Amino acid sequence: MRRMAYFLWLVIVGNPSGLWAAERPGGAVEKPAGSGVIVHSDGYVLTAHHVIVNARRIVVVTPGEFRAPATLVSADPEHDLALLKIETVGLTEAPIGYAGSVRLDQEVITVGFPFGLREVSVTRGRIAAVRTKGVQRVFQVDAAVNPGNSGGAVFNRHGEVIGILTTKFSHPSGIVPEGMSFAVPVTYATPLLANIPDFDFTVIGKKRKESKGGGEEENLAQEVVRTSVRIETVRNPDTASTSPAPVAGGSSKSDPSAAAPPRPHPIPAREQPPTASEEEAIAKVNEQLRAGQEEELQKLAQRGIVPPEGMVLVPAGEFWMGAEDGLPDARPMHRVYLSSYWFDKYEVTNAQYRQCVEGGGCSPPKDRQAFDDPQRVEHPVTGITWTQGRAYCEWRGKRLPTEAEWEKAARGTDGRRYPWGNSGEVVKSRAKNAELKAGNNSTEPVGRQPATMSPYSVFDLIGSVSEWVKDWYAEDFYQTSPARDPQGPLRGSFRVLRGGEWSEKPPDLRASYRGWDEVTYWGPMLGVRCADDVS
Amino acid sequence: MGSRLQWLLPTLLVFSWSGWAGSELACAKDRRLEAGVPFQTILELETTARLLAILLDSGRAVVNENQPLFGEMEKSGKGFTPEAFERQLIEVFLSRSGTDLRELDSARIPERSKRLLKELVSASKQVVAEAQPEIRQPRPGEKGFIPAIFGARVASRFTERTGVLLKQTALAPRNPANAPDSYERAALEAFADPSYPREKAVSEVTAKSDSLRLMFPLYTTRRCLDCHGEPKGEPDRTGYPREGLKLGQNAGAISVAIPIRP
Repeated sequence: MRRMAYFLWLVIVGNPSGLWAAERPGGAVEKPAGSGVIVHSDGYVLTAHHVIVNARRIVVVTPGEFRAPATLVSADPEHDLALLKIETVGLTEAPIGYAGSVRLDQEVITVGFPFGLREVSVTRGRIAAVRTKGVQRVFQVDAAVNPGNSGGAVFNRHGEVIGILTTKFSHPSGIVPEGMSFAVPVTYATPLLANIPDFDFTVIGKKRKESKGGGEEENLAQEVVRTSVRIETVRNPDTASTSPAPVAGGSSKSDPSAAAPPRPHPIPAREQPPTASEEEAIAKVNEQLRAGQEEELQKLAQRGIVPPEGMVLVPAGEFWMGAEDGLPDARPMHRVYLSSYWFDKYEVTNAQYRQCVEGGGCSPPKDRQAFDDPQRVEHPVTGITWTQGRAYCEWRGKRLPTEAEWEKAARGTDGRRYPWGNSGEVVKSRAKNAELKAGNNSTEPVGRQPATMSPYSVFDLIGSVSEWVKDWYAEDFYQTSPARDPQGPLRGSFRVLRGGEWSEKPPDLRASYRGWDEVTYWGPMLGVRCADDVS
Repeated sequence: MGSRLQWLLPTLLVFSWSGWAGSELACAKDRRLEAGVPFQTILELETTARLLAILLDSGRAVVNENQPLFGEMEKSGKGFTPEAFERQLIEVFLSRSGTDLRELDSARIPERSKRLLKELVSASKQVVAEAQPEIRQPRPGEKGFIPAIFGARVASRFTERTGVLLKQTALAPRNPANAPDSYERAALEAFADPSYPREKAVSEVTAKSDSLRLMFPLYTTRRCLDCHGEPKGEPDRTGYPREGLKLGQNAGAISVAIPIRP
């Protein structure tokens, strides 16, 4: 609602002035958007991504007032960079500098078209600081830069491009003092420049010619102006409400070059009892999934492959992962293809884990009380760290499941909310039971809750202990996740935990919920189960 | 002159590796005119600061993990020795940073990082060694050897020895000595925004500053909630009112300041 009001404010206040609209989505009228720099004579222009984001049409105006429609070649919203192309040849190109040798306090020149004016402006300044915040790393330049300069280049004294002006970066204090601007080091443009067929990377950092004395300054100014362009865009007015202009701190992830993802089946966003037809639909999918599982098992049997003890088969194919109405880290809901895999039907029990301890493959759980309790041999093993969970699976000749494998085994292919369907009734009644039970933190023997079974006949995914999976946790991983057998981020500080006990909050009991903790963490409600490839 | 060489070496290495020999000329000229630090060096300093923060936090995690065992040593017969601590520290640091402390000499990180990381490991081990009495016999009602205490002792020892500032800080720290300065406060306020990307540091070097500053965010894990969670205001086991933190919320940061010229 506030965003809508903001948009209206922009239309009312922003458009007549014509200045502010330059940086923000306005109406569907052609508006000066920003600046750019020619990096190859065949019409390649480097600019800031936010200058052209959501643009329906992009026009580049060269120094010779030649207006040409531009296409987006490549975009990097994270570093706020974009590469455009216009159909022409023989432009004057700017040499690219080596950002690694840019020094603090070094003199620089910024070039751009402030406020979308036709007059180019050349401003001198110095590199005042290097700052990193979140995913952004920038040069701070103490030159006065205005809206419209965005996307323009920062040159060193040799006329080489060392950075691209950005407004996406916000000063850590939240206040950007006057006469301070930020530029993305040109190093980050390397992947974009690689899209230019005959771009010569060996000349980076080798200035064209020695600067001569005398009229050096004037020459340099003329030189850099010849390579700077003005960029105008026509924006989609309707996109303004869905993707806001870059805001301080938050990074807008929208990327026009990415194809719109297919929409999942609408999932009722309510907790009321499901209708009869909904239950029928779930039952039908369950039937299909079981038939598919059975068929695949028979095929494997013909090849002499039998299921490992205590494991079920999850056949290869796509499924819906994540949730649109869940927590931010579960967004977006997206299609993922997984190869066939075996998945433990039950969580690893104390008895099974004891075999590994006695066999020398595992260290005992950090808290042995439950482990040593003869009443609880068939309860899930708890009090183990991620590393212990992994050691157990390896000792069994298996491995930890990935986050995606856990989720597919739990919710099948139709994007349902829980293993059994979309009904929240089960959760409500169990949560009440859990409250009645004294002290919580108590497990139940595995496989005692058939009502919570998943369509692939996996037990205790929800309403038992949390389970370690292989992946590192990254909140934004779904936004860049590969569509095939995702393995999680390369690095992180926390490992993902899936599933949860009944006493947790209802949103945390969905099959899409992603928990996480330190690899060294262990607790009374934390266990594991294993997976394996179908060889 | 010796310090100059240190800046020159990594820079030259990068140049020769990339085959951008031509830049050296330009660079040599710049050096005479401008004394500013090159971006390449700043990136290396930032890597060093980040690794130090991860190492201190890894030590905190290991101490945290072993909390429930403290005082049970006599019974279980297993001690939280400096050696046991080091083994676990190496494992956690490897998984979090990708750097193996056992093969530090061949790691592809700046030389200065290697020296400082070794120094931080040895300071951490010493603190664990000196804390053995507390670990074996925690006195009831006292804080005991918790991650914050471990971190504070290691940080002050490390800072004393190397001149590199390490500090745990938060917007409302329990220990007044950990109160943030203005730079730290600005970064902590950025971290407190739920839309701030997780585990991403904030850093700064200005033309006027003589050190690189970095703030590495920390998050509330399940174990932290025992003392810092709900119900807010209720005293924890040391009698300090709970902060009412929630799982996954930002819970402060590790502040690092590395002098640009060692």
